[in-house]
Amino acid sequence: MNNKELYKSTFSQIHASNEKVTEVIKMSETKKKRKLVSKKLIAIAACVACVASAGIVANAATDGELGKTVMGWFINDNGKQTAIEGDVSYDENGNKTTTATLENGNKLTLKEDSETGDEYYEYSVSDEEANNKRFMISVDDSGKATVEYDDKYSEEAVFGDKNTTGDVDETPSKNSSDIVK
Amino acid sequence: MNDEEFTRIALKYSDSIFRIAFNYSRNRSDSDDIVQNVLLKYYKCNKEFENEEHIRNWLLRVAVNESKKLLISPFKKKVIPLDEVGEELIFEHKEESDLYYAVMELPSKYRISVYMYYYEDYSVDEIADILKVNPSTIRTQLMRAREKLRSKLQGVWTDE
Repeated sequence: MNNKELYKSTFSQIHASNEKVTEVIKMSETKKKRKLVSKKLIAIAACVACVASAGIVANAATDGELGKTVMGWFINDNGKQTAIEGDVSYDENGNKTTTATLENGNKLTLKEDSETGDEYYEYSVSDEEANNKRFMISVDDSGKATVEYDDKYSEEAVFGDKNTTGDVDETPSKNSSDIVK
Repeated sequence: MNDEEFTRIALKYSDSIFRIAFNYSRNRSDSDDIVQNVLLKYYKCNKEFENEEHIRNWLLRVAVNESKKLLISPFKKKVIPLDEVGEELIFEHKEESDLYYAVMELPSKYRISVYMYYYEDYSVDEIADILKVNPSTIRTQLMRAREKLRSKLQGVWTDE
């Protein structure tokens, strides 16, 4: 066996972890699916301070047009979901932001980084008691969402497909003017 | 780039990327991280590649760069002693085991040149182009690596 053959037979036994490679492949597929699927829900645990007793359910904005777009659903105690409409805007770098002001005065924002395609939510609490604290909602590629507050508080959220939590009413509620500005 | 193409490239070149990273880090965990980083960079890049050879060269170049970054990173994981890593591998022949440990004791810059020459079948000029160094540097590294291997593995590593 010459040097090259010996070297190859030796180092051909060194392999990347299949699990790690598969993870990357799945990540790329998940990223694409998240963009194509129009309705996904994030339910924020009710015990998050200043959040309404029912869950707030959010999803990625559906298109690139300016104006209002459905970004999620507000779930009441009976499980009925009412659409939350947000205003779409773009900054000078083409980064898209969709913002909805909720009934309790808090804001739910979905931000998209135009360069990387990453999306992340921010939930801003304007309640006086909360002193304008800001919650960051991050969703990992497995769909698990985490609500974080000032690096000290963390709340896991549920991230799933539409209709996993009940009937959906896609029209804004009669009180939509109270919910969305 | 569609999912199928990305998957094909990822599966085809992940081992090569891993081996480059491993030659730098000698650490499986760091090497796996580098594989993921490189593949994600490839996925996100909008570069137009001329052909698959171009993709391969690009991946290996990025693997080298990522590996070098990791070496200076404060987050570099603890280096596992070489004999602990070697225990995970089962070599069919003692020559393979001897060569493995001898190569892993070489300076990292020699290990990379040796890997790209003996495993990836790159020429000296191609290695120099990927590593962005002068071809004479690669020739020197290969020459010194061979001297060390010959000295350590008498009878196993032959004269060239």
